Amino acid sequence: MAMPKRTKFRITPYLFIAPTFILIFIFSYYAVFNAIDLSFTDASVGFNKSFVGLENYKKLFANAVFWTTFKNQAIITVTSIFNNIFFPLLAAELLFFIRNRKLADITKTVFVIPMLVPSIVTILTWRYLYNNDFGFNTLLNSVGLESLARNWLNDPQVAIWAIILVGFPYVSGLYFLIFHAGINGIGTEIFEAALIDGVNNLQMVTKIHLPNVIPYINVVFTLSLIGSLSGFGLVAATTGGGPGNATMIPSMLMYQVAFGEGNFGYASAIGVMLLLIIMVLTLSTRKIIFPSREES
Amino acid sequence: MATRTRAAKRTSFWSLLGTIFSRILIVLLLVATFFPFAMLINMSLKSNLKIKQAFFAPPNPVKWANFANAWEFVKQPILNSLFVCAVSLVCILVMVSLSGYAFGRMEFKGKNLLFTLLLAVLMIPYTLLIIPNYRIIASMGLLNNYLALILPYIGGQQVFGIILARAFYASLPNELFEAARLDGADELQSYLRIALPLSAPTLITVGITVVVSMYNDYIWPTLVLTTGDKMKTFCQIVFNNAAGNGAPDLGLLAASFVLGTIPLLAVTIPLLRYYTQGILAGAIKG
Repeated sequence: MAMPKRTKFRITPYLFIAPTFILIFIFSYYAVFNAIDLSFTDASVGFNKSFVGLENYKKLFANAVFWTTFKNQAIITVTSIFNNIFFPLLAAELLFFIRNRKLADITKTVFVIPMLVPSIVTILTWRYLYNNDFGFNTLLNSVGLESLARNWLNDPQVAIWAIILVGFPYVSGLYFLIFHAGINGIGTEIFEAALIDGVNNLQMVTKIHLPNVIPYINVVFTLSLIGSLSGFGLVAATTGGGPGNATMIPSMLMYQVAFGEGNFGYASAIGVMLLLIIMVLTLSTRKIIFPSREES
Repeated sequence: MATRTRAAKRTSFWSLLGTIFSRILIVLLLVATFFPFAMLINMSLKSNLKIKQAFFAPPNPVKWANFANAWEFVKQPILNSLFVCAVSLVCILVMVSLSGYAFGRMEFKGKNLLFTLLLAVLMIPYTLLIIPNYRIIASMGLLNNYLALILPYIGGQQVFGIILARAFYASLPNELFEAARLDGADELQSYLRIALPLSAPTLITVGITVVVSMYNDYIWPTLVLTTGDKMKTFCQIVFNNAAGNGAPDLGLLAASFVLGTIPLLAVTIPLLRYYTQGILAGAIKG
């Protein structure tokens, strides 16, 4: 492999990546700096803006609603990470023990299909189930538990939990496939050796699968952390942050401030806080929770 | 000897119990996963009144008219969504394979730095970009133009694909390209004739991922397509109607949900085999 490296400057690679980087520089990098810039101004929907220093941030930290949104976000993020790891991993483990190949293939496909249903359709279907007049309430009434029936998404006490349970049991197709890959990537020799040693199924899962699946748990952890912090489609399509601010999260608040009140500057300050939190969390959780990852 | 058989019997009893338990668990998971969709289909075949009176009861009589009426309502939005997805998809796949090839198989100055810049894009929350991108699109005069969807979609959706494509191209054996070089193929030719055809399964994986995510989007279209229902995308129409507080015909709505789901299923299910393989391969390499 001791080929002499061509020292001549080659233009081809740069031409190959040029379209990608032009779009990324406009819609990602320029956009981020623009958002940071806007957060120090009083920008509104129009194009006029003037510099206001840290005014937006001061207003933000003094706003009680902003702190409430963090509490809600923490609840949603922690539960969604748990759901995104536990249920797909459980499904992947259960699939592993299906010996019949055909049955295993069918099961795998069936778990992936829900991913292809538009999320807004899933969310609105759940909204019907949470309805005051029918859905889960019909079920509760029919078994004599009328006292438990309620307007799920309109009750400040339960609305956030109702949102969290949308899509239950969340066998996310993508994460399921990632765990499936992780378990099957361990290598048949190890499984065979384990079987000869008389390892039972439970030991197989706890002693052999789980240690080897940790890098994949790490990936899913990061993906669902970022996903949960950056999206607000679920809240927007269920409660819009209500009732009151019972289910308000920072990104939803930002959306409302920007496009409801037309205050782009203040909204950008919320967005910048989110960016900082995501960066700190993704970089630090990788170090604290999964230190082994550092080796690779 | 006697103790050994007894021990064997005991373990086989427990493993049988374990198998039965795990089968029941997987069936429960599947039932729970599909329960809402079953309810949706059930709703789509009933009248508004029947949905409210007997939610869980099977449709009787079956109201096929819901689908006929819903089709009139969602035909145009579905076509709009498919148009936006198709144009963006073609551009994304071209850019993903070009950039993936450059990062996977070419040597150039600043390669690592540029790739890090690309990875960093994944950390930017979607929410943060909404305001600046809205301003960028507005200043380009593209509000209420499909380019308002297509350009940011291409920009944002390609990154994950490039990571996957880079891993694939890097894994191709060198001999393949050496042989072509001896035959006098230049860089562009080895990309077009060797790498690109081999990467079809990877590109299908990327394609399914990005189409699902673009078809699903309803927040961004709601902001940039505001004039009239004619231009709106399927998920946008569904979201906008859900946000309004009318007294809608629930059966009709459910039928339109089902109709809007069919295109995505129809396009992706025949290719699902490539998708699962692609994710599995990508997950192992990544």
